[in-house]
Amino acid sequence: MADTPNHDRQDDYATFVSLLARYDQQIRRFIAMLMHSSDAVDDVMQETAIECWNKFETFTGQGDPDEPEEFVRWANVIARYKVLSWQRDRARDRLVFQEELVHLLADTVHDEWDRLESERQAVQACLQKLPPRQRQLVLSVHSPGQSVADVARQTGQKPRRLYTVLNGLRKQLLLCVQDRITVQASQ
Amino acid sequence: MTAAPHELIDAALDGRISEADFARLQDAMLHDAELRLAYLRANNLHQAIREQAAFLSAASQSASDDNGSFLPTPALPPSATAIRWPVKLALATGLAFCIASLAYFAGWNASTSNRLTGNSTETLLSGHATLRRSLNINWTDQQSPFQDGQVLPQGKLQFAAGVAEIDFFCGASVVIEGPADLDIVSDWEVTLHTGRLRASVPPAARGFKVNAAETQIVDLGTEFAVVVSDRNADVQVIDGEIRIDGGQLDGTHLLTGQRRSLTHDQPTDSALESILTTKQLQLKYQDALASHWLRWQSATQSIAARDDLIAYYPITSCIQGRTVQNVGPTGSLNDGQIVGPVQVDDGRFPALSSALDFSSPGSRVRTRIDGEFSAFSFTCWVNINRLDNLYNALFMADGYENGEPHWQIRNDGSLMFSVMVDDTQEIKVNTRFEDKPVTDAGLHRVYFTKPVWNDSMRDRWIHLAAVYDLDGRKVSQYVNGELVGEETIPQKFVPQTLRIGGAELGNWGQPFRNSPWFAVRNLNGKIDDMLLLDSALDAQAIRALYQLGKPLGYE
Repeated sequence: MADTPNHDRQDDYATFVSLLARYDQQIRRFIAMLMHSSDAVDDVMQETAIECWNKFETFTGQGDPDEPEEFVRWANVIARYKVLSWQRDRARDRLVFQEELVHLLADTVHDEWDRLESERQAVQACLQKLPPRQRQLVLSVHSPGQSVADVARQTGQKPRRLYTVLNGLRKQLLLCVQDRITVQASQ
Repeated sequence: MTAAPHELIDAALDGRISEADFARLQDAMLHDAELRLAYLRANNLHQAIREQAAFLSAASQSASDDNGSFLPTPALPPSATAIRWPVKLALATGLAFCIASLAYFAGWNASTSNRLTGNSTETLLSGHATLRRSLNINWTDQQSPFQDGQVLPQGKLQFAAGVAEIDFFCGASVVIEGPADLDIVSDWEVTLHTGRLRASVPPAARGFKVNAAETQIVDLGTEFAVVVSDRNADVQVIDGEIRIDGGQLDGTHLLTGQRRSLTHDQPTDSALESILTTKQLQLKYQDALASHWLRWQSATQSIAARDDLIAYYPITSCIQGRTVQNVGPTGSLNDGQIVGPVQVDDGRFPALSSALDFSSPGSRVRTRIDGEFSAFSFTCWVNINRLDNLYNALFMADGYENGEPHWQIRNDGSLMFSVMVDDTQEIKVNTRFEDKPVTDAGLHRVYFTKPVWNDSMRDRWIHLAAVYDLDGRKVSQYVNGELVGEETIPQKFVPQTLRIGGAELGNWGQPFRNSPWFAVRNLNGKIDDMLLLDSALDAQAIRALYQLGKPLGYE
């Protein structure tokens, strides 16, 4: 530690913060992909960020402009293990993925990153193509602090009916997203 | 009774999955790379929507005092300004209704009951099962088609493709995949000649029998599958126990997981478990319904943007409190107002769309549409319980003044469309209630079709259209996209102009001036999707509207 001058650590910190600020959302998305519930994503993200800082010396890329996402790849390795340890702590809760599946999912996310990213970007345009009321519905159930049960109660609908509608709308969105990236790919 | 793994993904992401289903999903994902990708794509979509919602929520919170929710505006109680129809009118129509009710019970109740106790009602009640749900059914030429919810009588049921779920009155339910040929024998028994069948038998229905290949399979509890083709017949117990009577296995009991051929030494069909379960069929059906409905939803958008639109009431998603919204460009100016005991019920896409039920007398939706028009094309979907009244209203201008339309159904099932030509003239009309002709106000002509509805069509959605082509001097009427009546407008009955003014859906606002007899005109049934156009659609355009809006399972 004595070899590391204090000001280096401060420089590192500035670099780290700017990288994290830039890529926070991508890391968060990666974490969310490995967990079926969005509730714990913030917690795991926080633990991942702390661990990234603790291990930042091992990150060798230092933000190479030709490799803008190498930080994400490096951080995602840490994120993967943070997801695993979070799941392990809750292994008694049977609604968490097994370790083997988390690894398989993480590998698939890496392999399919570009496709998933293009699909994600197409979602906004596809939401715009839905009739206004359907768009409102989809957005409202995914709004912060809202759930399908809440929306069902507020609109006086049966949750089961709402799920049916939602699943149909999501299916529609997935098809739209797929169409859009197919068109983009062929252009 | 379990869903396929990919159908569990949304449930997992919505946080409403059971532990057992979660375990199944996880297990399947471990072994199936495609399923993993499907899960990731769905999760990706959920996240993207969530991000978008959070972004918009934050934006709307900072931009205004909005509560950040994207819920449709909550239904407000009708304000004083929203009630365009004064109380005295409601009282007036109420009075007319009382008088007319009296006439109804005193005058022609007897003849109506005679008419309604015909064979069709008896036939409907003499079945053994109901067709609970069907998907992509392709009935054979010999088979008269059944629609979902209909009672199935004793006898043959044949379809070339598709899946049907049948609930027997004993409580057993079977899913049958086509091509299928079966005989419904009784509440407790079915004979399978060809097809793939899965029977679920609750304790109350223990003893339910499936006959196949000269063998009787008697259920002793829960679930089994039978597959019969022209070469072989196999049976497998999925859960529980069955007994086999007759044939080469006479007296054999089979338990969970056991499979036998009824015709050969070895079972040949290896896909018995793949027959859809009730739950799987339900999910598939809901998916098909949802995408069908979504197609319709986007069609309504383009209809609402038509140049020739007078008003359009899709009903679904357009009921705000007691207001039935017009989605055409004139907007709230032509909104409808619910008056009386109108019920909002399932429309022609069950659980997804809504319709208005006018079956309680006094039910009505009032609107006002000003302006002059050059033609009328009216279309709507109706689901009629009974033609209780002599005339049963679809869309009726109040009073009946010059240029105003009346669209209704006579109690013999004939469609009627008319426009008042000269309301100052008096004409004599023969009615079945009075010996001598009744004086009727105004010169008008009613264009009737042959009867197109009878009691056997209860609970079925039908598409009706009437086209009043003033320039072409022609009135055309359609049922389910097919022309059922066409007449020339005689010169004497050509009105100067067309207008609507005050009008009602599902009832009539004001009785004939000198005769209260026909004032009870509420439609005993449901109306879904009322479209009023200022143009004369041709047969092709009407057929296109039918095709766009038809319920799942319609040809």
